[in-house]
Amino acid sequence: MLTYCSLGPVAEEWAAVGRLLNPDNGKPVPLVPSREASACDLLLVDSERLTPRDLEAYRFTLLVEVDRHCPEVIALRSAPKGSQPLIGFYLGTPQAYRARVSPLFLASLRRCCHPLPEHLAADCDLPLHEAVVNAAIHGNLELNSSYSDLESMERFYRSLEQKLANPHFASRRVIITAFIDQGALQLSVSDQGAGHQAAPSGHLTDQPHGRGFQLMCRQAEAVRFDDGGRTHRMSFPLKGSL
Amino acid sequence: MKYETAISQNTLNIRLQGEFTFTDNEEFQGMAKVIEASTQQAISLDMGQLEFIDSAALSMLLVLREGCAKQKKQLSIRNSQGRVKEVLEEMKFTKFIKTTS
Repeated sequence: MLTYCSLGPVAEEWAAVGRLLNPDNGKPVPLVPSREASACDLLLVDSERLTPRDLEAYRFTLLVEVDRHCPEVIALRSAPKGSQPLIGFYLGTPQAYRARVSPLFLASLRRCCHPLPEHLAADCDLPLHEAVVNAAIHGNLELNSSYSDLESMERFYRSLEQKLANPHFASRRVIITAFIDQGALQLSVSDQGAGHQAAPSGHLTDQPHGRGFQLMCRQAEAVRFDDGGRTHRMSFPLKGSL
Repeated sequence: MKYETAISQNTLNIRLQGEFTFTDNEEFQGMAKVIEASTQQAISLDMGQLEFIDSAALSMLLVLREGCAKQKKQLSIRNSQGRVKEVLEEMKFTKFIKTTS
């Protein structure tokens, strides 16, 4: 059983999310309203309300953005055995792309769960941002952002808007989780796209694309792709940071 | 991301403000069109008030460089600060676009 609070105009609809939630063992999870006004397992957020001010009042483990037009099955993912789970965001692709989610996530992490030093949160911002945008654009929307001039760039962004308007792609989730494992902050960003097998290049080139992976690796002690390229994991050491 | 333009002698100065990210394509395209239409041969991007930059913004700057090169305009970046400066240095952007402090 999980408790929930809702941030949006129609609380009753969000209870239906409970029928759709299922952990890795496949059994549905009952969802009940939290008795505390601002503390819960799941914070269910209407797409319009994903702002720092709205989130400040709540303590939660998992934030789920709910789009009443695109209901879908959401899988709960547990942290690895022995690690300390902290917090998670489940977002639709349009919000993950547009909302500049990374500082929201890190601020929620610091506020709700872990006294992450400010300088470490600042170090995590850009790598996490790159991973989220990568998950939304290349993962869920299955777009390749290789453009060389203004004209091809304009074509790319037109394709992007078309896919964002297509529920088949837009309803895919970007899932961001954080937990502590082996003395490091582990950030994980997953998409629901087709995955990829290509190994990112570490070389700087003169091409107008391809720097996202290099920026994802900034400050991270370790970076790897799992789940067929759909999950990006970054590890940031906490030693000396607390 | 917001931008302001000012002309001094033969230079079009563009001051960038806020965060320059993937979603700023419309603002960027507007800025590119201003540059294309300008008669100044030197284009200077002032990044002193830019707080954040991502890989997509770096790609847009390279597209801008290409557009300037076609018109034989000289593009430069100046006054980057904090983490924006760190990113430009780590990505060795001085190799691609002239950078001054």
